[in-house]
Amino acid sequence: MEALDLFRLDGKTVLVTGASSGIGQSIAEACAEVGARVVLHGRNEQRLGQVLKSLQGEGHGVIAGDLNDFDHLFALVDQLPELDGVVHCAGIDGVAPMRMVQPQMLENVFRINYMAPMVLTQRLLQRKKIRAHGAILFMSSIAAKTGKVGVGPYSGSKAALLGTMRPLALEVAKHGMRVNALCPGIVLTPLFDGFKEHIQQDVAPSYPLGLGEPQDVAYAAVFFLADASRKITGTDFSIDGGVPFT
Amino acid sequence: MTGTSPFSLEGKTILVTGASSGIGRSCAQMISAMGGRLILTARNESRLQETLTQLPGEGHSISPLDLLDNPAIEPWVEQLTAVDGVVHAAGVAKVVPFRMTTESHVDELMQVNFKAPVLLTQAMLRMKKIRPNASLVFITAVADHIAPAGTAVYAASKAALNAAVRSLALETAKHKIRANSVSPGYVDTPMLERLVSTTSVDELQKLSHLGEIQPDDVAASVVYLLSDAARWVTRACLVIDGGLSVPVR
Repeated sequence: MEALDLFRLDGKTVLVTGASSGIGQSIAEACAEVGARVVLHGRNEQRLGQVLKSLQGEGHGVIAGDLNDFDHLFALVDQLPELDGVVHCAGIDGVAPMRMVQPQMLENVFRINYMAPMVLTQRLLQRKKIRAHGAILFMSSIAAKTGKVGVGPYSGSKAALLGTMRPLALEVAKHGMRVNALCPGIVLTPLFDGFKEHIQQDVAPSYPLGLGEPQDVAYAAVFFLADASRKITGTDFSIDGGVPFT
Repeated sequence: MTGTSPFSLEGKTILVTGASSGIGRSCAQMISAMGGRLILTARNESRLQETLTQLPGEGHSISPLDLLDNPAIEPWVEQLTAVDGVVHAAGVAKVVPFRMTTESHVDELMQVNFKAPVLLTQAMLRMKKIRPNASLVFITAVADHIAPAGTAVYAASKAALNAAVRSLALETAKHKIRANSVSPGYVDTPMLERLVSTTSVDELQKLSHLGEIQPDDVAASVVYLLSDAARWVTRACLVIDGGLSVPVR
């Protein structure tokens, strides 16, 4: 195999959830750029259609729905072709001081950020929809590894992904499959729409290399899906411009 | 060609230490295959020549340096051209029970695994041999946090380097120079062969849940970090161990 092929996804099929915007969209674009056939999943069918149009290459597809509706999730898995990669990008924020957080909010954040990707992973594995030597990638966060006032619910949900990732990595290793997580720092995407000004003014200066672009995370995702990372499993990788104090 | 890939190293000049064997040699080969121009260094000139002749592409060179000879570092760096990346792959590993650890064992491992890369980086920064947007990659080891018995000093030397890299990254960021570690588990190299006395290489390799790790596997991680695809990655550690460290506290 040529060196360059290690960093490409030719002949591989990748499912990207949360693909209609932000990091998920960028990952879908980057995967297509290096030769993957991409299945885009998200809730907004119209947005997904727009992303689909922008993808390089052919054979891509769109499936719209809500992963928190398990009937849809189970039907989705049955519809899918065999996959070589799965990237779980669907997620929401969860900002609330712990003295004030409502149980319903905590439950919601965990349902979307932890339950949905884990139930989807379980179903894909059980239905044998992930090929041997496939790669599973969770989108955790720098918030899983650091403390910032107000970010309790989000941090917990993202840290939970890391916790479960490890046993999962050991369980699927016998099929040559690998499981990893990215821990991005702050990348300006629609997730931060409510906080944009605050982030640009107050947070960005503390980033040694500045805030990230979605494409930065996307290329990391490509690395973790490609054969270049075939011996990497059970790890979380920080991609955050080196930021010390968050 | 590699030119349009975000992982391409075309147009970049990369210095690799420990380039005559194992991970260093593999990095040199993959970097050149991805379009990079190499400056290879190690102690043994004839083995460097051997590595050089096997590299695809053009414009590569060798420049021997003994990393046990600290005073030799500065004059050596002075004759270096400016680079876009450095891979610190030179290293030594030894298994020594703590009760038998001597000062000379500590000195030897700290010299090659910690002092040398630190002093080399310091000299290169001071003499402006590292271009803006460059990428510095330090090969450390998972031993830095999961060291088995008999490897305390080896582990400490790698942990020391890892800690230093995290601070270095904050200093070099103003020039958009990045600094990261690649932390392998057990890799099928001559170093591992030499290390093993009471147990076979195969036994150690079984600890990787994904099978044997080849030097090429580590080289691919290094290429990613050297490339523009990793332009936002700094102060990070990329663990490549087939899951070895997953069950270890």
